[in-house]
Amino acid sequence: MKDFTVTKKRQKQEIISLLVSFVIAFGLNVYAVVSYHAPAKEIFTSIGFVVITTAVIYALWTLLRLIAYGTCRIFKKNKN
Amino acid sequence: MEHNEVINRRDFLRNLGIAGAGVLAATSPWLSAFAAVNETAGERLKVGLIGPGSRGRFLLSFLLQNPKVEVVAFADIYQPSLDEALKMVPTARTYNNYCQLLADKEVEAVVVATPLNTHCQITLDAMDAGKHVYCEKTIGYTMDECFMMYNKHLEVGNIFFTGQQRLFDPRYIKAMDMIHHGTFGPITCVHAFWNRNNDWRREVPSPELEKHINWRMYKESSKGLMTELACHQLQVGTWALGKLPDKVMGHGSITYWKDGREVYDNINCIYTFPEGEMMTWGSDIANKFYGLEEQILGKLGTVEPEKGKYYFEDYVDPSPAFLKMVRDWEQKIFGDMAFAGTSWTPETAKDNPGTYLLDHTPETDGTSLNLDAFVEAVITKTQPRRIAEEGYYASILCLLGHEAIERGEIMDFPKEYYIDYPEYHTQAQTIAE
Repeated sequence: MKDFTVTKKRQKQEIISLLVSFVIAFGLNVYAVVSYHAPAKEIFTSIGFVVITTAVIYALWTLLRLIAYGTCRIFKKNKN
Repeated sequence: MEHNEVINRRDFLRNLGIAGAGVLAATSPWLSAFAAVNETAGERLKVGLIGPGSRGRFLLSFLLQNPKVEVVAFADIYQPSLDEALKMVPTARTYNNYCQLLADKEVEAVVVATPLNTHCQITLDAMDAGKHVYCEKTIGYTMDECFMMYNKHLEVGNIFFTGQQRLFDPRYIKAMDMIHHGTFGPITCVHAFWNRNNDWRREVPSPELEKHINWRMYKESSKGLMTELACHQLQVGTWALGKLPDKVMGHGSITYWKDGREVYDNINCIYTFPEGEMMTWGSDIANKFYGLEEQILGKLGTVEPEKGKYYFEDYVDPSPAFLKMVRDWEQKIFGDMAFAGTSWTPETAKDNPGTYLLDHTPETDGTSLNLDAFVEAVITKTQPRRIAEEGYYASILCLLGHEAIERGEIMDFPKEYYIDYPEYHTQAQTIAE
């Protein structure tokens, strides 16, 4: 079986992607708290929903990148 | 509230979550029956029960818990009922004819729990014999009978109570107090219904007793669901709206229980009020899913006193803001999708858990308190305000509904049956008089 090597650059990219996903999810929660006039403590008490949303955004972003990567490879193959 | 204790009016009101007696004076003035409850502690009222059948014995079970009551006599033409009652009060005298009980000088007050078609004559005779009367609802078999009974009560001046136990149900008293204080805005509609899934029959030991025991099934002795069930709930509607309907229409049929009965097993009536409010009453005894309820609908909220709950229209969903936002997006994306022609969103009811009217489960549906109030009223010789009138109009309304069904017509409220009860007479009705 072939070993996969995750480069330092890739690790950094993934951590940044996860962080950006978290920031988006956290931002949505803040927006919801403000627009629904909810108590400010919900920014922290709803952290579970934020974590789940982070995972969903990250998964969607990963899916998009996989589709883009796959499409590029098909084009490259056709060129060769 | 413990029945073996003397009723403490202050505790009763406190249990309702209402600060003082004054606030109830307009909504439920009949509670004044308990005004002298401590002063009458040493009194003892001698009561006779006419009709100790199943309902009669149910009432008897409450009378026996009241230390101010001594049940001294029973009257019934059906010996097994007398035998059952004697098991509860072995010392009581028994009569096969109610006239003999009325002639019993020791009896001061009577409870009438006989078939509907006999209420009127028994009550009139009892009043003439100087007895005070608690009569089960519906009070009369016809509107004329109800009118005669009410007028006899006025003429003789004896205490007259009817079996409208919701008048003493803590949930209803609290609900009406809130309604009359405008908590739910103007009341526009009352949907009342009483559904069951049974044939409503009693076991008959021998065929010749069928009409005697299952008297509710036959037109000669009953008007079925209208007089046995509607009477309670129509009274709740007029109590909430504070007025009488001026028209009624309805339809009834024997839809499922085609077993020889003569009264309907499926009924719907609409009562309309002078300012456009409506009250519907329905009963289907082949499906019990929705049970019984009076849904009292106001501009600002809804009350369901049987459930003991109320619901405000601007209900705030307690879910976290994040979930609300997700739901709203979901609704925006999928909810308004046009399927054909103009787009629409089904207006299905929102999941609103509501708030309980009382912070505890009431220990009574009002029956025991209704009887206790009757006892207090007889002892103090004081007829509480509006109690007989509420019973009278509840009976008239269910009989009027029955009349509308039988005739297949929209019936106007018959002016000749108005009584002196300004609380329910709107300007239009007063002018009509």
